[in-house]
Amino acid sequence: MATNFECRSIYSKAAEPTTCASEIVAGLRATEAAAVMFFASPAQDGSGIARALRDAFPDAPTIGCTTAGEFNEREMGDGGVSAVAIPRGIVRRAISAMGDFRDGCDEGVRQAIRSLSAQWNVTLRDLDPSKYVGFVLIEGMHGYDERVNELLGDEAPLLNFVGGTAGDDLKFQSTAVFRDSQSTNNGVALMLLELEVPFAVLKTCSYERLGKRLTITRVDKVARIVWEIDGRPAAEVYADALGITVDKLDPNEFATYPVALVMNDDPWIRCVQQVLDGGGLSFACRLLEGMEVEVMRSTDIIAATKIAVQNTVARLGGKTAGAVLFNCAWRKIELEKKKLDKEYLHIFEELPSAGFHTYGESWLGHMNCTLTGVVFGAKG
Amino acid sequence: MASIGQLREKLKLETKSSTAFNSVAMRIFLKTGVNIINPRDDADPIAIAKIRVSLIEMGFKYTVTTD
Repeated sequence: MATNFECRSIYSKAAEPTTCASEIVAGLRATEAAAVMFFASPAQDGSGIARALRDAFPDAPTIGCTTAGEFNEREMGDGGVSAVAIPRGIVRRAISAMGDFRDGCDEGVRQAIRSLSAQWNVTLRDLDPSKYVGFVLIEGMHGYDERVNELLGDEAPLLNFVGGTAGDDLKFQSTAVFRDSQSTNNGVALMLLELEVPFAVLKTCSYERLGKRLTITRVDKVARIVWEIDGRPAAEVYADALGITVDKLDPNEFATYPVALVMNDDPWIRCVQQVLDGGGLSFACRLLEGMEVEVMRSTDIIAATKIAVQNTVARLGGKTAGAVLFNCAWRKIELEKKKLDKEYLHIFEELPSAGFHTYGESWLGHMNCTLTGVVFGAKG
Repeated sequence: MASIGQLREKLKLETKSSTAFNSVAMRIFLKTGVNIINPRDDADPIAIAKIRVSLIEMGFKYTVTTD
C-alpha cells in the first residue's frame, strides 16, 4: 500500500449491509488512510459500516453520521453510503472523539474536547489554526447545533471546526453519529487533523439581498421560534416583506426567501420552517432578540457554487488533494426539483470528495441552506 | 466602560492576525447578532455587554480586563 497525496472517495448503493460495507472498504483500500469519514443513509447499517472501516483501517480514526442523502464527486443519491479516506500524505496525524449529551450538551461537548486534548496532550486553543482543522458531526433531532458550535468556539476560538448535522431522509425521527465502534442518537462526533498541506474552508449559498432589514423582537430561543419582528407578529412582517399575505406563505416561499444575518456582505442563512398559530415563525436556526436580519432571494445555485469552488481552489494555488463537503438538504431538494443534480456534481468532478445532505451546516456557527466544507491543498 | 470600537482594537491586538480576528468577530456575530467590525451603535451598552460576555467565554482576557 503506497502513501499517496490525494483523497479517495467511494459511494455505494448496495442495499445488503455486508455488501455495502465491503464496497466501501474496497473503494478506499488503495489509500494509506490517516482518517476516514463516512455518511450513511438511515436505511443502511451505519454501525456496521463504522466497524468495517475500523477493521480495515485500524490506525485511521473514523467518524460518520446518518444523512438526508449522500454524494461523492461522481454520484449523488439516497439510500447509500459515501466515504472519503484522507491519506497520510496530507495528514500528519489525526484523532477523533465522541461527546454524549445524556448529561447535557455542554458536558458532552466538553468531554469530547477533553478527550481530543488528552490524546495529543495539548490545549486546543493553542493549536496553530493554519495547520490544524477540525470536523464536527452533530446529531440532528435535539437542536443542539448552535450550542455545539458555541462551545467549540469557547474552547478553541481560532480553530476551524467544519461539518454538518446528521439527517434521516427528511423523516425527522432519529439520526445518529458514529465514531469508530461507538454510536449515539444524542451527541457529537469530532475529528481533528494536523495537516501536511494547506487547506481552505468552503462556504457558499445562492441568495441575494433584497435590502429589507428586519429586527427580531420576541423569540422562544430554545424552540427556535420568532414570535415578533419589529414589534409585530413575525409571520405578518415576513409576509409584508415578501409582498404577499400570511395565507400565501408556504415551503416554496420559505426556500426562495429565507432571512440572513449579514456581516461584511456575507449572508448566514436562517430558513423559515413553518407559520405557527399565534403568528410566529419557526426557524431551522436560532435567532435572538435584537438580531437584525435581511430578507434574501434565491439565485442560481449552480453559478454561485461554481464560483465559490473555483475561488476556494484558487486560494490553494489551483492544486487540490480533495475535500469533505456538507450540503444542506434544502439545496438537494432544490437541485432535484430543478433537475440540476448532474450539473451540480460536475462542479466537483476534479475534487476527490465525499459528503452528505445535512440538517444544518457548521462553521463558526450553525447555518442553513449552505454548502460548507474543507478543501485540502496539494502537497508540494 | 470601553466602546465597541475600543474592544475591537484590543481584540485585534490579542488575536494578532486579521484571520484570527475575523474568525472571533464572526463567532461573536453569530452568537449575539452584534457586529463588532461595523456596529450599529458604538456605545450601545447592551451590545457591549454581549460582546464582553462572548469574549470572556472565549477566553480573551486581555481584551475584557483592560478597560
